[in-house]
Amino acid sequence: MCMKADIVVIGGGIVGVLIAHELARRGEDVLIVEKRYLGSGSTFRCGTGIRQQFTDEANVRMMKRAVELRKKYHEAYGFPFKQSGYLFLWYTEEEVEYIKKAVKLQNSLGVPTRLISPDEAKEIVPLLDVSEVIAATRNPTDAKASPFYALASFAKAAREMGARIMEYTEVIGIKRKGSSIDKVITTRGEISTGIVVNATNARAKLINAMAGVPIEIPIEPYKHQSVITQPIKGGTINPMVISLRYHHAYLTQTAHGGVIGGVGVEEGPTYDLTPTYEFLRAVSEAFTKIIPALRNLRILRIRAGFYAKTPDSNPAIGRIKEIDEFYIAAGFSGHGFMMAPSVAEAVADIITKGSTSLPIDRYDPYRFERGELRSKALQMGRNSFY
Amino acid sequence: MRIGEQNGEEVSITFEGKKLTAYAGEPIAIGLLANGIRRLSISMGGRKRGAFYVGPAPVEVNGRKRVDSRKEPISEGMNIRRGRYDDYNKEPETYRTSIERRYYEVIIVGGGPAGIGAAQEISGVVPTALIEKEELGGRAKIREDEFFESISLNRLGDVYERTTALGVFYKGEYVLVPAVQGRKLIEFYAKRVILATGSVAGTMVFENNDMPGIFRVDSALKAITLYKVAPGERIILTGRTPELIDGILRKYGLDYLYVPRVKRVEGEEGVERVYDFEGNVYEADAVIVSDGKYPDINPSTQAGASVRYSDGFLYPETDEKCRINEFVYIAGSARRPFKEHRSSYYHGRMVGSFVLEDLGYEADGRKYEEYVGEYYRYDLGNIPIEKLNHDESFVCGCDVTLKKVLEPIRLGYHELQIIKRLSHVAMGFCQGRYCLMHVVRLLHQLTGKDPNEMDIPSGRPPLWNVKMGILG
Repeated sequence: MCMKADIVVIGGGIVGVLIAHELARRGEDVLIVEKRYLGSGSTFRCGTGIRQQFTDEANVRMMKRAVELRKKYHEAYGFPFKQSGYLFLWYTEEEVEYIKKAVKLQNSLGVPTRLISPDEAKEIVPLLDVSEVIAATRNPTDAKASPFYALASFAKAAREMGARIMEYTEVIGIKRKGSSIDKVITTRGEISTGIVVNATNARAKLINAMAGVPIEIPIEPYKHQSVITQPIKGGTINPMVISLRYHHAYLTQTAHGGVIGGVGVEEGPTYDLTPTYEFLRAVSEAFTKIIPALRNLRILRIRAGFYAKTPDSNPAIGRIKEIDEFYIAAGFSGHGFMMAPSVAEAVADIITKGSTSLPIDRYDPYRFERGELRSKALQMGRNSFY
Repeated sequence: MRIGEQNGEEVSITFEGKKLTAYAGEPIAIGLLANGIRRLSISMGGRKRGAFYVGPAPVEVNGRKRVDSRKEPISEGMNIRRGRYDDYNKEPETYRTSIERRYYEVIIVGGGPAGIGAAQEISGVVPTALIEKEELGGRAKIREDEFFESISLNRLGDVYERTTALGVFYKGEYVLVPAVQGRKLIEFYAKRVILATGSVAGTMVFENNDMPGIFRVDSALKAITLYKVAPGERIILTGRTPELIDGILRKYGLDYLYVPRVKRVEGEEGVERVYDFEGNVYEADAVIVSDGKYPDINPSTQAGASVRYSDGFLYPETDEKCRINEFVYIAGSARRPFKEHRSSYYHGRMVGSFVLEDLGYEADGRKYEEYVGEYYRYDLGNIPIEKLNHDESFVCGCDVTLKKVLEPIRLGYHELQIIKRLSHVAMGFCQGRYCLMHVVRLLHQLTGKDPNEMDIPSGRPPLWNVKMGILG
């Protein structure tokens, strides 16, 4: 069987689906190839949070745009999306000094983060133990969304606009004719195409190698896990609560009422996604410190997804100049779900118009080769920023 | 209605302000059932729920919320109120008392006939632990199975009852099986693990099938044989395997009517009327659902087994020695749903022998083969979707209606993994044990997809819900 598509997007996670959605919206002929089912990589295992509280300009702007776009599509497609804010808890003067600068930056870019007192934090989430907290930062416009409904809505809309999606189809090779892309070879046949977008995140290196990308883009897969508890009364934990002190924990409540979240215990590089006992212990320890009442809740399950990490925890987004035409949008380091809408816009811009007004220079895939690492993106992972 | 001599002392309790008599030590839900009270909780979706079909059964006791009415023993003076699924206690009351580490050669998870058989085979040769989340005996005990009652329960190695295993974790040459016993966390390490985690009783989809007064076959068996309390006075038995309980009903002199397939139940506080598909209406106060038994695949898949389908059930794929890998073996109805408890027991002995052999001891498991009888073979079954009200029929105890599951399928989502996430089926308290088969059926019915082509979700730790305070 030989198929044809102007553009093949490899990877059916949130980033791949949104890129295809945006391209289809602009009238392009696009086909998504997904190894398993849509969202099966990391999207369906993500922590559901959408944050603009970053510590550098590009990430703040990208996330702000992502929130705007998601809000727009939430209104159009009806998937759940709630701007219930992020609440960071801070425990030392040093942290507070550092974060004050970040708040200033965020405010200057139109993100209304505020430094608040522990008492105000407790008003927002009454179950919090703030006995050691000295300050908190809150941005009420940060958000959370169900990855299931969001992805399904975008995929449905993309299909309606003509995008094709092949699930349970693995890419096993990419054929080139000189510097041009010729075919994408899959377990279910070959696809003739001129443009490939590598949106495989954790497996980006494998796809780069198949295409013969001549530069080193160091994206490594790390196992990150999350937990879900029994459901409790809705509205008990509205914002995404972040405590870097306790294992870099993040937690909130899903639309179904369960408490969801994770800690920065990470393993890797690895493609293994087996949930671990160590995580079960660590997440319980951290969560019950942040909210002691969580001691009483039953854990329903834990599951693992990837943080596809780069050395500076920022993704690689852009065109690979040596190949005609190959684009990469991968290495999201745990921020793919939140950033996806603006990434899709930027990638569609550079494919269809050759440039974008979004600040993706920061994510230049060539920066690793040049040794120009960025400041680390503020990440809930083992490598903290302070 | 009480149907025999009660253990424990007669005590007074209060339920929603009303004074009642019950027996000390029996679970709250049983004591209330004996007083004719079936409605105990409100689900997340606002539905009236009882304690014996699907979903949890939280009540409030002396001001403490979310007490499990199926487990918490009654004591004198208890003041009980109805609970809500989304209740929780704001006071952090769950604390771990200790962490212990124990080393064995073999750990057996599950103390039913298969686990007992395996333990008897192995424990005399190498140090063995038998972990059971409730009491030894499993379904064989609550069915008062004659064969089971004839075997002695000694030579089992170290027995840990009321101990809940969290999962199987591979640690080089050892396998770690952490478990929760009361407020204690025990880390069991062993060279081999036998999962003898048994089967789950099949549920059925019909209108108002979440109503108080509906019983899973196991809950009805427990009420009758362990606590001598009848599920009701006018019992309807339904499903494809009435034989799992009809003998017990007769033995205890409980009249019942067998209705192969129920369309709808109605009632105010619980079941009052039952409708079948032929237009008959029956007065009833209890419906016992007995629709097959299915291997509980969650423990096996959590340990890494792949799932296959045949003969109406999903089962873990194993090699000729019932292994899923070099460390983990599956014994008894966790692998195939045996008809007789005797078969599970001898299958347990057989797997026990295989383990000994693999550990370098002389053993001949095949000698038990002749005692291992048939297992259930059904067809996949179907859900009569064209004859049911989709808003009132529940696929899953977490308020997932037939409508919610059919929607994504009709929208063109034919991947079980996606249907699961869009409908939220198989994501709650039972982690798919009682609802996943219904989704497999529906997907097959609507799309013709072979269950072997479906992407079946793996079990995730913890294998059974445990409280965060014990692990933290």
